[in-house]
Amino acid sequence: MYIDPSAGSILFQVLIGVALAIPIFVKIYWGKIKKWFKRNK
Amino acid sequence: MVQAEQIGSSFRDPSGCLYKENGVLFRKINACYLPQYKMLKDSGLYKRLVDDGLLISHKDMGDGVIKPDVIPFISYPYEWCFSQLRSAGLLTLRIQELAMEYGMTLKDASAYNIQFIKGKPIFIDTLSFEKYEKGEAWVAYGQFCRHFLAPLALVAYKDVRLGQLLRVYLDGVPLDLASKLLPLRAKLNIGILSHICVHSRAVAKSVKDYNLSLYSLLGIIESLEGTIKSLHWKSGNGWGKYQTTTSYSEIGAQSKRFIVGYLIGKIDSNKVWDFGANNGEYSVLNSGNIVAFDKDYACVEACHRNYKDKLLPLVLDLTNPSPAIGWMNSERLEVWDRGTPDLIMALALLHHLIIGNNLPMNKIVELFAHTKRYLIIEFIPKEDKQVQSMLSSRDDIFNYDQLSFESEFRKEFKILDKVTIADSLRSIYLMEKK
Repeated sequence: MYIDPSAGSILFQVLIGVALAIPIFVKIYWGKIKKWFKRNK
Repeated sequence: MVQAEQIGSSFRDPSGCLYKENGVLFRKINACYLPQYKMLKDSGLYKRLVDDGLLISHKDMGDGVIKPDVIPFISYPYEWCFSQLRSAGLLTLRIQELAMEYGMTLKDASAYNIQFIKGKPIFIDTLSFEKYEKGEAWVAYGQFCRHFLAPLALVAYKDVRLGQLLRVYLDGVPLDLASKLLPLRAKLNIGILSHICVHSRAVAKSVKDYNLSLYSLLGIIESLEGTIKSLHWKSGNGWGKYQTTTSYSEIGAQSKRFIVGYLIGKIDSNKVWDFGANNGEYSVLNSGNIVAFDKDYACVEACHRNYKDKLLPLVLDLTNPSPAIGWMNSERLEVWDRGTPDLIMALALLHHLIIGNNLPMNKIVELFAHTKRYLIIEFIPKEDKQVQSMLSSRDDIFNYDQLSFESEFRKEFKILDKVTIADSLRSIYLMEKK
């Protein structure tokens, strides 16, 4: 099914995305750090 | 002779269309979408989604034609209870997450792309996937908020009847409207505040040269998921109290269950529509494809929670059933155009239609004649306590007695059996269409 991308929604994603990226960034890198420590124990 | 008939729900889609050929459903993939379809198959995403039971599987017929598996009964978001819409929303987000893992994205997030099979939501639009381009936003984000988040929030925080806004707004509840209707306490939920209220104020003529990182996109999907998971709806009456047996003594309730099971056992029916199904306890005595309709949201919710793997419960008011809507009134079908059941059940319903809604008996016969073959119907006489209580607040102008009931139904049906429920004045009839 086709939809028209809404410019307002895209703009809002760009704005809110900055804040919402932080927990994801932390989660991913925290996982990587834990993995590194486990490997080097 | 081969007869092809295009399906009304797909004509907006530039990627392809649905059509029926001699009653069999096919999907034609347009040339412009073939590279995306190839990527869906070659990337392994299609296999992953089908193996996980998230996407409808299909047979490749060649020449850009696929034959999707059959959905037993097509239902629409305005007929779903809260839990059904919630699970459909979570499925859409799960598919978007998986699509991103495979380098693709959902180009739309319409609730109409979801159907239910054995209580589980399944995505039916195989042509909704496209290649994810690095830096791009989720084009279906606004649609997802309108189709899922806004109606779910309105039901959870305001009133369950607001779910019916989906019947008025075919492309989802406008976010500015949802924002106006939501109470202050809803806005304390950070997900609702941002994805509905602030989002509704974001207006831009065009957005060019933006770059949305993958972390941002994943963060948005995760935030939507968390917000939907935080939403719950509970009827003020609680689930356990919804039972059809409340008008019966213990002996009467057992007798009714036995009689309904006995009458069902006498016939062969694969497609069953149960009107006024309440919590579904009599619907599940059937086997095959059962659709259990009730106008009470709490009953449909209870039915979904109790028996979702056995039947499809849907919200439907028989006095104002789902109409045909959308462009030329042909995008979404009215309920009567979505198949013909072998058996219609109408237990403890007739008196509500006649006395509660002033409907003449002949009109009700006309309605139930939609069955292909059988009808199981309960007759409750005027002397019954519940009917007496209904009549206490109105003049008894109703030509409603067992003799006129039988004579009116005999015009369209043959009465095969009639059993009186123990410890009550009520009777259950098995009828066959003439």
